[in-house]
Amino acid sequence: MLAFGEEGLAPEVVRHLHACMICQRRLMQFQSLSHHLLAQLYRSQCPDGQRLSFYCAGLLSGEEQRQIAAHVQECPLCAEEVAVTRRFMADPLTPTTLAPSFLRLATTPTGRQAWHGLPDGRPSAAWPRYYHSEEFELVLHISSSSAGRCAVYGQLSCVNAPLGGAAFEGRQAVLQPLKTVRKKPAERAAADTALLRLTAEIDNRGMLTFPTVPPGRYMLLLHLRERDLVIEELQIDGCRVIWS
Amino acid sequence: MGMQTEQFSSVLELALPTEVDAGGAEAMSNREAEQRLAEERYGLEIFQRAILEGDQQAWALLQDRFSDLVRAWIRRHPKREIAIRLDSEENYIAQAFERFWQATAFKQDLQFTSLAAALSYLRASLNGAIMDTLRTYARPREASLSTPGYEGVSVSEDGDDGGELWEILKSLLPQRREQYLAYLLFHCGLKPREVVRYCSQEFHSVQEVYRLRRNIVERLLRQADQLRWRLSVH
Repeated sequence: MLAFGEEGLAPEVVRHLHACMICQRRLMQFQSLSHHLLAQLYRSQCPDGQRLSFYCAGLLSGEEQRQIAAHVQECPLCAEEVAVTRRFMADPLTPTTLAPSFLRLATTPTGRQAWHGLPDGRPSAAWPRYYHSEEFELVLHISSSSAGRCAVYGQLSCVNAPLGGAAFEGRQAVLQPLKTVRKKPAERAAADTALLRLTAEIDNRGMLTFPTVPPGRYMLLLHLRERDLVIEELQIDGCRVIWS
Repeated sequence: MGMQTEQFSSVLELALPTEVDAGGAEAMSNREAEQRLAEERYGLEIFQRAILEGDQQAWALLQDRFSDLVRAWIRRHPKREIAIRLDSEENYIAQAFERFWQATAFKQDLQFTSLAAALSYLRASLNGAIMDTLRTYARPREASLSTPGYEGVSVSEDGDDGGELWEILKSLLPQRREQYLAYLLFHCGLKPREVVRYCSQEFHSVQEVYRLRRNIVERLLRQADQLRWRLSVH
């Protein structure tokens, strides 16, 4: 009975409890008192999240800082929250890199044969390219489209979970043009206005298609339910693609 | 979806470094520095007028101007994935501004010396909103207390003041180790295995925690009448 409330009681204890009214009553008293005290006391001595945050940012008075520091030494829950908060506060105030939820996709060096047939049936010799994060894999390919433009195809899958493409259905993919480096402002302005942001919807197989992409430098963003994925820079030049 | 894209776009504008021509880099750098300084002054003035002077227009402008930044912070938060399952980004943003207002408005001794200082307050307010939301959902479910032989003790009608109960409990547990274990079990809601994991220096095995817990509970049950009486006379 010592383990009540945790991993369950041993079978012989359960058998005894069925037969013994005294032990049944005793167990109920143990449980009831524990639950009652927990309901009344749970984190009643802890500073609220706001004060703990201000403590971590050093925004409280000296006395309050000392009080909370002493509490954090005793309370493992607050100590854990302080660790999370400090990690959060360690970030620069104004993001200097990409926005928060963006998980950068890295190039997978080895080619694998996972590409499903392209719609036009004419895959480039150098592609597909594979990208991955801890959880996701993205396969990308291009083929020629109309008037010097390219069609960009992708297939997204989840590595760790047996999710089909349906998990991504309806999520948005964005090709975001990057600003062009040119000598003359007029050239730069012309080049930048020619590139518009392109969007595509991921289908129930995890496929995404940008049918006509003008040459230029882009960032690829995939807005998933829990987070966004990013490939920071890709240059589409005619039908040759250079990834960084 | 369209709206989300627009919001996302402005976060990108904020986040992406601006590229410059190689030839005009120095001039651009000077211009950028001046522009940043002007933006810093402007941003700081919005905060000061909104918070210290209670200017409603400035407050609306402040929310409009910094909402995307708050959203970007949410997306960088270590607990983001759990947090957004529990509440929407919009609610966290609204809460962050509300808490920021409550913490700072009309406080004469408060002076923001830089935009960064004001933003630190705002970010701490956002973190407070997220952490409090997570706490609410982490709270153990309260159990029924109508058990024969133990009718429970209530500190107050709404049961929201555990300080008094905790002081009485401590007085009934003379040993420091028992007090600390009671704190971990009933205040922190840790299971015996978690106690050993978090406080392995103090408690070496789960069997030891089981035994100490039984001692504590039995002692409290024996003194339940005293517990009730002491609460009733306070």
